[in-house]
Amino acid sequence: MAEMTSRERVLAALAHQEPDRVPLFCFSMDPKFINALGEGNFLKACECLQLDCLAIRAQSWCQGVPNLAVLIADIPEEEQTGGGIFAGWNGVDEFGRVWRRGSYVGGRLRSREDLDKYIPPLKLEERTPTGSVETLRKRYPDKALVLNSHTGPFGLTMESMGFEHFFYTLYDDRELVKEVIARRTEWFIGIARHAQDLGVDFVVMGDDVAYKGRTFVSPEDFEELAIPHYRRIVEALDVPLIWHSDGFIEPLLDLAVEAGIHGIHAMEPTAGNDMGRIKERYGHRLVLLGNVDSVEVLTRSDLDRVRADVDRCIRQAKRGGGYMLDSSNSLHAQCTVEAVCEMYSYALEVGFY
Amino acid sequence: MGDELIRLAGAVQRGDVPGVQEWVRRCLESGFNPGDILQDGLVTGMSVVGRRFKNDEIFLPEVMIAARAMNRGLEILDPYLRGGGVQYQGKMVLGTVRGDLHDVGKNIVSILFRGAGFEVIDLGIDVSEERFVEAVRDHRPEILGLSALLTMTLGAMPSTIQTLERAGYRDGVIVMVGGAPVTEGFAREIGADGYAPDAGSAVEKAKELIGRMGKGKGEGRREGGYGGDDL
Repeated sequence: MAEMTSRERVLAALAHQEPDRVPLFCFSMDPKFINALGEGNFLKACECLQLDCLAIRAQSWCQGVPNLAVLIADIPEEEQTGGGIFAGWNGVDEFGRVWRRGSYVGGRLRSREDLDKYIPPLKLEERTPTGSVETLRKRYPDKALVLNSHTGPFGLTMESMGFEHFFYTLYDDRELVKEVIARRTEWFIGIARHAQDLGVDFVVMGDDVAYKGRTFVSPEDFEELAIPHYRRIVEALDVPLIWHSDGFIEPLLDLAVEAGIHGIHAMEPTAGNDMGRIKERYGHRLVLLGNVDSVEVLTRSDLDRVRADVDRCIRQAKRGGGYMLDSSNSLHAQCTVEAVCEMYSYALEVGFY
Repeated sequence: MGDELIRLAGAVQRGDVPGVQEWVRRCLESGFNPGDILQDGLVTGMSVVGRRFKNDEIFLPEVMIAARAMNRGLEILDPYLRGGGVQYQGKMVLGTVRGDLHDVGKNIVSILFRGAGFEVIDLGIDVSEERFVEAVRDHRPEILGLSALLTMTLGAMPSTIQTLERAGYRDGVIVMVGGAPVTEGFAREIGADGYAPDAGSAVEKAKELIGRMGKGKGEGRREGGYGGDDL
């Protein structure tokens, strides 16, 4: 097969067609990699890893500090706890999430009175400046562009209320939970449509709804609380919507398909997800992204093991198209640079169709 | 078991706070022993919740509201329990290890152990090795539970175990580890006594380990296991 451009490769995978090789994707990247591979420049790090997709962002802030660590690659070490990819490292962010040294520690949204306070204004041009995306498109005409935003309506509602309070409120004032999720949905549609208008090829919506071995709420609650909003987001967009979630999401995949979700990202194997099984059951409906183990494999510099896991992913998911390779969560601070570089460079060698 | 206690256990399972409060009061008025109200009412109700959670029949929100109801009942019962006579399944010291500020998983573990009749001393988040050892020394638990969410803080688990060893308290306590990045292989590698893949199965694992090691049921600690030096 003739060599495709990155964008052609990604679009083929999204269309469940076999491209020339498995596309390389990255949902998010710790500053450590931006520094090590791109000398502090995010795009340079993406080039170094030969990623097929370039991410644009919808910026948010935590007490005036940008929430995405890619913008603040020089976070002082003593200010980090290693979980700060999305954090503005200390304080309360626009959504009501409380951060301490880069780790999420709770939520502030408690009542209807807090809704206006923690559902921020869209400020689209400030979050995703048109000029920056145009520059990106001109500089990288052959790359696919993606909006990666970890502001999905369900997970963000849970985080902004705090987990315990969210669970109590499901019983004490379910309508409040529904109202928050509905407003977060409209917010997400706003930023995603803006990105779409600027020319992204697809949108990845980070919405964590599960953890190791389980979903946070029952599939029945998820169907009631999240699925109508996922459907609403899908219907509001003309580009494919990929859903990212940590944790064990397999029990929710029928619902995701029903809502029109185009694909899923991460599929943490250590949380219980089996990509071979997912491909078998949902491969014709869902595009799969990720699954290289970022808990046990990418955190060590055992390159044989990295290659074996890449081989596994490609064997399980590449057939028929519909797969992009990435880690099973993010390139977080505990992944080693050697392992991450090997993951992508080895996939370039063995990912051909 | 009296009808009142059955109703109390049912109210806990439903997460019915007013119901739990009412039935605790009624049980006290009817002359039930406070220890029996705790064990046969509150703990029995919460044990059913823990079992159903372990079997994937219910999810975190149902566990949380049941735990909240149980705690409201305990608040009423607490003054009557201070006189003693309460027999716990065992005692657990629990915390998220040094450098890690996450507490959701740890809190779930705490709730389920309390619900299963354990006395839980929750040290919170970012707990240093020395604080864990001090707590083991002061509280003499059967179980020491170490929790972590971040891979980079996993190193604090073996160093806590090593600090326990150096202080002479390792042999007297069962060390259990858990959290998203923790695996059974890692637990074995660092010399932990127990690992559970999730909070739901951690309680059963703890009971099994306590049974195997001949500890628990409020019998107190083997004194010989706590002969270490003070920190």
